[in-house]
Amino acid sequence: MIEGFEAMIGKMESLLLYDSQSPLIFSSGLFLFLFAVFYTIYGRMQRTTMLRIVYVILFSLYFYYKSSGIYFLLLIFAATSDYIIARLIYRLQRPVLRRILVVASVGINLGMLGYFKYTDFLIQIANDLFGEGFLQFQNIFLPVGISFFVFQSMSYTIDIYRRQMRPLDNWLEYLFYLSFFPQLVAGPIVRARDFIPQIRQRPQITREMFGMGVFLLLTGLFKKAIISDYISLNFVDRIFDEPLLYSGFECLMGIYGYALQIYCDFSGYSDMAIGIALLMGFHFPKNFDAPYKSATITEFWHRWHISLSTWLRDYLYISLGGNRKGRLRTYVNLLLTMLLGGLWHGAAIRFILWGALHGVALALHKLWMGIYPRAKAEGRDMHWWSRPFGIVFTFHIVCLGWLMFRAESMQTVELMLHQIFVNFHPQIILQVVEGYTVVFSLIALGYLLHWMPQSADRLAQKAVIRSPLALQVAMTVVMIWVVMQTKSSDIQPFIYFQF
Amino acid sequence: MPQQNPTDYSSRGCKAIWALILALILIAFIPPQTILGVKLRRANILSDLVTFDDRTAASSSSASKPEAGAELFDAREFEVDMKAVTERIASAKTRTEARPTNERPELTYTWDISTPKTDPAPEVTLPKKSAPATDLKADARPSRHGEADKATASDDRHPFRDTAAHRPKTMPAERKAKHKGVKPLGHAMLSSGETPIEDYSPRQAMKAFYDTLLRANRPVRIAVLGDSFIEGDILTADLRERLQSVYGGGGTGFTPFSSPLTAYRRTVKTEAKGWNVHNIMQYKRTPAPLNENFYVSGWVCAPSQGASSRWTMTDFRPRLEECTTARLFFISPRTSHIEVEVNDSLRHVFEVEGDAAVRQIEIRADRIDRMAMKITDGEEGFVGYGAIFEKEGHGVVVDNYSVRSNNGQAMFRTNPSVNAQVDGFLQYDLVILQYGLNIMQQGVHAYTAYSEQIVKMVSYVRECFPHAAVLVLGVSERSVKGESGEFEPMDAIPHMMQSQRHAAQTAEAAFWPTSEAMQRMGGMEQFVQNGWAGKDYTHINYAGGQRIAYALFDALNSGARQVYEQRRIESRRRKYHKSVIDSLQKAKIRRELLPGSVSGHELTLTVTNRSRI
Repeated sequence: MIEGFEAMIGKMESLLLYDSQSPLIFSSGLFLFLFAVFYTIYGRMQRTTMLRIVYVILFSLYFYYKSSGIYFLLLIFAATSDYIIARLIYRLQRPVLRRILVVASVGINLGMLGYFKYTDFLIQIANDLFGEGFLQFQNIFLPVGISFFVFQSMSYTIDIYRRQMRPLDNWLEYLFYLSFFPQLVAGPIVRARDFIPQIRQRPQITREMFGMGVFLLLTGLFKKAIISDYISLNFVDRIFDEPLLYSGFECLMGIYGYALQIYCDFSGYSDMAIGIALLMGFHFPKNFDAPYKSATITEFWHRWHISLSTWLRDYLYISLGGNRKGRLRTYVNLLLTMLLGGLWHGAAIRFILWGALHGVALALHKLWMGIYPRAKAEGRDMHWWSRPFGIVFTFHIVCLGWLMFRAESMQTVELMLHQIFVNFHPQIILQVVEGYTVVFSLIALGYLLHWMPQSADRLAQKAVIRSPLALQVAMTVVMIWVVMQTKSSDIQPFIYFQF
Repeated sequence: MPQQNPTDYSSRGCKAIWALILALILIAFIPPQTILGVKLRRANILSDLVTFDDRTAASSSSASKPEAGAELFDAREFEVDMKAVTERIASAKTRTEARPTNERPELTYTWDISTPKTDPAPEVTLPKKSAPATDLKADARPSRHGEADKATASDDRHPFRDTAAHRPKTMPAERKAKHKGVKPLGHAMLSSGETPIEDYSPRQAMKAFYDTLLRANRPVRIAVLGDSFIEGDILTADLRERLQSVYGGGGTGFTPFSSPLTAYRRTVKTEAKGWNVHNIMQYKRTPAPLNENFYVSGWVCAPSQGASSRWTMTDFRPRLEECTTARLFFISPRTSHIEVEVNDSLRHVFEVEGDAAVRQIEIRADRIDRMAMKITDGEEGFVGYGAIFEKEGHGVVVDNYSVRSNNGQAMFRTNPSVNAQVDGFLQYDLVILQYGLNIMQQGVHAYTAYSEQIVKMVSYVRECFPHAAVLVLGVSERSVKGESGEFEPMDAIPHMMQSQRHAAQTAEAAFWPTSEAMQRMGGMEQFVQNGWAGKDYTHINYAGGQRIAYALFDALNSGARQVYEQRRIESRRRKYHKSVIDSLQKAKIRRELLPGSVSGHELTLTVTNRSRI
């Protein structure tokens, strides 16, 4: 008995310590337990502002330590450096000095990002240019969420440089903002000016906020841990791994599946982050707004990863000159912004190509709007009959982008397109759908829910918000049970269709 | 106690979270069950800390089923009468031989466009300057089958024909290393430790194969019959590459005239047009007489007029481009015309006389980079199999005969006479059987019925390929989701492997436990993590195939090395007993033969592990 207890304590210890193989994610059982303990104490700290701030910071730093180990110090470093720089920028009046400081802040942030994320990528490029072995790979550890907190921190110093906000007087509050665990790992990228005013406010969690938080956790879990995880493991990954083993129909479905997978994965995690923040009394802006309902590519970027697209617009596109320097410069700025936006997603050529595709598409759409002033920028302004065409067309442009984004190499892109256009094999469509019933049902359900009118979404939100607490708990229990069943479900074996 | 704010939900939220946790902990006690055919696992929120042993209960219930393995396939569908197989092979042979010699159909059509070579024989007359293997070869006793007899026959014509001088003058690094008694290059690069081949043949068929591998002055042929695990030349691509790097040879081996999967294969590029292709797994849907003429390749290709195939050699692996001979296999019941084009420049049209026998067109050139064939007429009733690309002379040819979804029993649907006729042209030296994945199931532990079928498969192979040793590969690793959602090896693997081993013992064949070799490399989870296997945790890719192929090559090479060492020691002993050598030489040989010496150690190994080469 004692031995069993000791073994359990040992297991618990190793569970709570840093493990690069098992970062703490919202859909894990461990997070549920940790959050329950955290939340119980948090609820009793409504009146003790400073204690609450320190408490949340400590939990956030632990959350980060669990995923990235000692690199939580990096977070503290980034917070300290930008806190000091921002205060200096605010105090100084000479434009040159202010500019030097903001450049220093951007340099430090991008330097960190560049070192941890892009060193090996640059070495690879150098080796490609000057021959293998020109430089040795460094195998640098990539601290989790560095791309997000670096962008957040930059938004703070740039906003202060632009005199759009006052700097914080307390370093702890800035650390609180930068390390706040709900958005720390995968966004949304919360702006300092939206978030900072909420830090000192006494957390008021209304019924609406709580209900909305539960709703977002439920949808987030459904999207991330059911749809995305299931279809990626059982269908999408294997098609992108070996496209030639599959018919063109399966490859096309693989791309549609991936479009849904990446949306569900990303927006599901964002939903959970927003939901958890709501449970703690913090409002985050919307990050995804049914992006595949977009009828133009411009609209897509108003609906997809909104916190990133607005960040890129405000801090990169506008800094480059935006549309103030002539038409040609506007196109160049758009393309550059999207190229860098692509690179932000990962250190590989394929992400740059993905960014380039979107940059070109956005520029072409702008050009089209210039040539045909009657053309509409967004679907809601279009005719009822032209909007579906726009949606289908935009969806396929976006899918082409996802193909580049997901494929390991350009060869895989070529092979997938070759299979779709040369070896489509429509005769096996029924067999494929039958063979992958669960996968296709989930894909269909995912898209169906996605394309439902917004009113249906609001109705569902209301239903959850108005439900009694016991029902909300019951709904969460059922959702978690389904998630666990999905996680432990047998993997779909390979089905070989004889074509 | 602070007064609760009626609009503030944090306190209620806190209670809700603990209620949620309590509910989930209670749910963890609900055992796994099946409701309306849907298997529901135990949802254990505490799986990181507390585990429930559901597997034992589940497996004991499945194991208690009487002969669960029998339900895994329809035994009646795969019944095979070995006597009938023998008769079928014999009758086809007799039919051809019964005809007067001038009426017998021409079986091989040859087109030789290679530059005539000067006979390398003069080099052979200087055996003392050649590699040390010369002694061995001269001393070697005839092996079990044709090879040794052939060697003897050729020795009559030329005393040094079958000597090391026929091997390349510069030995590959691996062979040099082998001569020094160290492991060949590449051994430890990818696999850790060695998984030996277990030879259960009292006649030591594998030893005969190793003999051939070391001595033969003709292509040494290996047929690998398998399922989707090796589809697209996975594993065989690297087994071939390793063997060819050490024992010589080139070319990609067998490839069908057409198949929907050719695009996936990277070891040869195939472009085919106008073929109607049938797969042996769709035997029932294949029209007659095509369905009666399946070869172990599993594909039959019926041409429409002008059907064509074009192959381009690739450099996906070394030596694939070193191809000098191509063989096309087919049945042409009516007179047909087949146009063959080599390297897009030389063209030849063969008029093939109509006959029911399997025929081959053999093309020899200095180098074949591209080859195209076209059936210009006579396509009615024509059955196409495929082409073999190889390098002339000694060396290894590895043919991949993979059929997806096959558990091995589909071979009983092939035409044994077709198999035997093709073997008549080729004479396979080793047949490797890679099956089992399409039978094995989680929770099923009894595979006795399947084991019996494997014994029949071995017999069937021996009937069709009488000169070949048979090596049964144990099932590969496969992982499934465990109770907590983590991957774990399928519980049926050791049981399936044991029944395959048992079948190999019964059939007196050799056995190699693939899953053990994969476990040495970290198992299936590691394979997936390394990008060596697909996300179904079952199928490997080329990278994974390379790892397994290297391990299998190590096992084969180690067997061959032991045979080589044994022969070398025997030769030294004979020399020692010769009265003409001086005492100094005798002392040197005695030292070499001491148990502590490398060669002596090798010999000890061979003697003590007689059953495990």
